[in-house]
Amino acid sequence: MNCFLRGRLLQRWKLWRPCRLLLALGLALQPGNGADSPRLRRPAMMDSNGSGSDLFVVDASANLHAFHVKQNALVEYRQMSLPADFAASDMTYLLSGSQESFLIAGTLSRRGAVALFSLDGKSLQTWSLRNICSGIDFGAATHVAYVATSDSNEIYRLEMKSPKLTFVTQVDDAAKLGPLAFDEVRQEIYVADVAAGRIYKYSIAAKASTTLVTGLSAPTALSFDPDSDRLYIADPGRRGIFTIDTRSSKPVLTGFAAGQMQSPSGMALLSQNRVAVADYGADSVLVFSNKGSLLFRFSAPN
Amino acid sequence: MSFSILFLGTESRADFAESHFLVGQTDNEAFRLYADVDSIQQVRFNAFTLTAYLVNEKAPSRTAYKFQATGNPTGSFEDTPVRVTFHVKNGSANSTGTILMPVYNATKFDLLQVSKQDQPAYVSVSGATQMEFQLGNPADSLPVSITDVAINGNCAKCWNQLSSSVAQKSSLQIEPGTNASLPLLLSPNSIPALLQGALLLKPDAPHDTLSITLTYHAVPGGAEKKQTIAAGVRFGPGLFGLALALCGGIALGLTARYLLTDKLGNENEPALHAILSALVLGLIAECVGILVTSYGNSKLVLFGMDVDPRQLFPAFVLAVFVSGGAAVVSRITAFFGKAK
Repeated sequence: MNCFLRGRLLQRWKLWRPCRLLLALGLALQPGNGADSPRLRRPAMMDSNGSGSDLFVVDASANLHAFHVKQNALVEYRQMSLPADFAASDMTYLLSGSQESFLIAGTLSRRGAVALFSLDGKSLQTWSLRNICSGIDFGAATHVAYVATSDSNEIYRLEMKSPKLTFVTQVDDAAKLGPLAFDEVRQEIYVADVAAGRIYKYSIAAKASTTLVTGLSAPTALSFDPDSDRLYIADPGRRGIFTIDTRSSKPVLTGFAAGQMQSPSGMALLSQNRVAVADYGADSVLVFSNKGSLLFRFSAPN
Repeated sequence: MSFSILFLGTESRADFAESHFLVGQTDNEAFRLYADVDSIQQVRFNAFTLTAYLVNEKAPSRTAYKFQATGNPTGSFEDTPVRVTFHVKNGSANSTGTILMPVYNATKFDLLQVSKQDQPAYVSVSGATQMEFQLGNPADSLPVSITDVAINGNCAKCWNQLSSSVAQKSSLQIEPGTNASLPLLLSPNSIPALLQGALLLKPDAPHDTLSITLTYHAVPGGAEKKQTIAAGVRFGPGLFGLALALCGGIALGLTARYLLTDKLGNENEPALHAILSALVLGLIAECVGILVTSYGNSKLVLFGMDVDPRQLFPAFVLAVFVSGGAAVVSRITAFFGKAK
C-alpha cells in the first residue's frame, strides 16, 4: 500500500514536472511591476525619510524613484512621474501624520512654485511665487519649510497650512541662490550660492546673514547633520563632497569624498551615519560612511 | 551671461590638443586661454562648469594656471557659441582677450526646428512603413545630438511597433544650419487601424496622431532636453486590401446593374466582355483618383463628400459607380434625393 502510494505520488510528480517548469517560465517572463518603468538615469536630487531607511531620488526626466536602503544595497520599490510642465530644482521629504509626501521646489509655467506630492504621485497642494524657486528644506518638528529663489536671492518661509509663502530675507551679496539646508534646533538656514561658490548662514533669530565659506565652484546640494553639526556640500565643479563644522568660529572647507564621482548633484543623509550622493554624470548613487569611505555604488541595470 | 572663476593651482603642461581644447588669446598675445571641452558639465540650478588653463606665452616655463569656471545664464537664449571676453591681471598689468566657446541655458527652449506637416503621412496597414521626419538645426547654433526617440500613438491599439533606429549608441547629429531626416519605423495593427480610419473619409483628417519625443543635447556638453513633435498619420489598406475593395465594388456594381437593366453591359455585349470592361475601367478610375488626389490639387467628391480614394470605402463606392454605370448612379442619386 505504502509502495503503491509512493508510486502514485512519484507518477503525479513526474506528470507535474513539465507543468511546473512551464509555470515557472511563465512567471519569469511576466513583466514585473517595474518592467516598463524608466530606469534611474541622471539622478539630480534626493532626500531620505526621517530615519534614513528610505531614499527618494528625482532624475533629470522628472521621475521619482523610491528605494529601501539596505546594508550594502539600494532596493527600488516605487516610481512616480512628476507632471511634465513642472521643472523641479530641489526636493524635501516630509511626514505628516502617517502620510509620506514631498515638497518639490521649481518652476511651473515659467513661475516659481512649490508643490506637495504624495508618494503615489498625486499633487496635493501648490504654492506659487513670482520668482524662480531653487532650494528647499523642511523642519519636521516645526512643520515649516524654507525656500530659496535663484533670480531674486530671497528666502521664503512656507507653513503647510498657509496658502502663501512669507518673505524672510534677501541675501544681498548673493549671485544665484541654490540649495538650502535648515538647522531646526538653532533656527539657522544654510544656503549655497551656485554662481559665486559660497555658503551663507542666515540666523532667523538675529535676522542676519553671514558668509560661512567661499572657495567652491558650483555647490548644488547641501545636507545638514544635526548630530555632528556638520554641513555636507556637493560641488560638481570640483567633483567632490566637502564638509564644514558649522559651530566653528572660522569654518574651513574640508574634503570629504572626491575622485569616485563625475558630477555630484544631490545628497541625503542615511541611517547608520551614511551619506548618499547622486552622481548625475555616472547615472548612479554612491553611499559613503561618515568618514568618507565609499561603502557601495548603485547603478540601475541596463 | 556671467562667469565666476575659481583658481585651482598650477600645472606644468604644454600639451593642449586642438581636438579637446578651445583656444583664446589676449590682444597683446601674452596669454593664451585653453578651455577643456571634455570638462564641460551641466549642473543644477541652470549653471554649467568647465576647466580652463591660462598659459603665459612669454614665460620661459610652461606653467599652466588651472581654473574652474562656472557659467551662469540669465534670461532666455538658446545654447550657442559666443565670443567671451576674459581679463588677465598680472601684477599691475591688465590684458584682455576673447575666446569663442559654447554657452548654455537649461531653461526650456526647443533647439530643433520641425517643418510643418502639410498633410498626414500615409501608413499602409499591410506592413511596416519607413517614415522620415525632417529636422533642422538653425545656423549660428551648436551641433545637436539626438540620443533617444520615443513614439506614442493616441490610438495605442492601432500599432504593433513604433520605433526609431536613433538611440544612445547610434545617435543622430545635426550640424548648425543643416537639416537631417529622422528615420521612424511604423508598423500598424491592421484591423484596429482600418477601423480607426473607416469613418474618417476626409483626405486631410489624420486617423491617428503620433507624439514623437526627442531627447537631445547640444554638442559639446549641453543639458539633456526633450522636444515633442506631433505627427498626423492616415492608415491605408495596402495594395491587396485596395484590390479586394475594388473587386468587391465591381461585383456589387455589376450585380446592381444586372438587377436594374437585366444586362451586365451594353446591348449585345457579351457578359465576359462587360465584366472585363468593368474591371479595367474600375482600375483606371481608382488609379486616376489616387494620382490626382495625391499629386495634384484635385479632389475626389462623392455625394458632396471630399474622399480619399486610397481608403477601402471610397475605393469600393467608386468601383460600384464605375461598374454599375448610369443606371446604378441615377438610381442611387434618386434614392439619396428622396432621402433628403
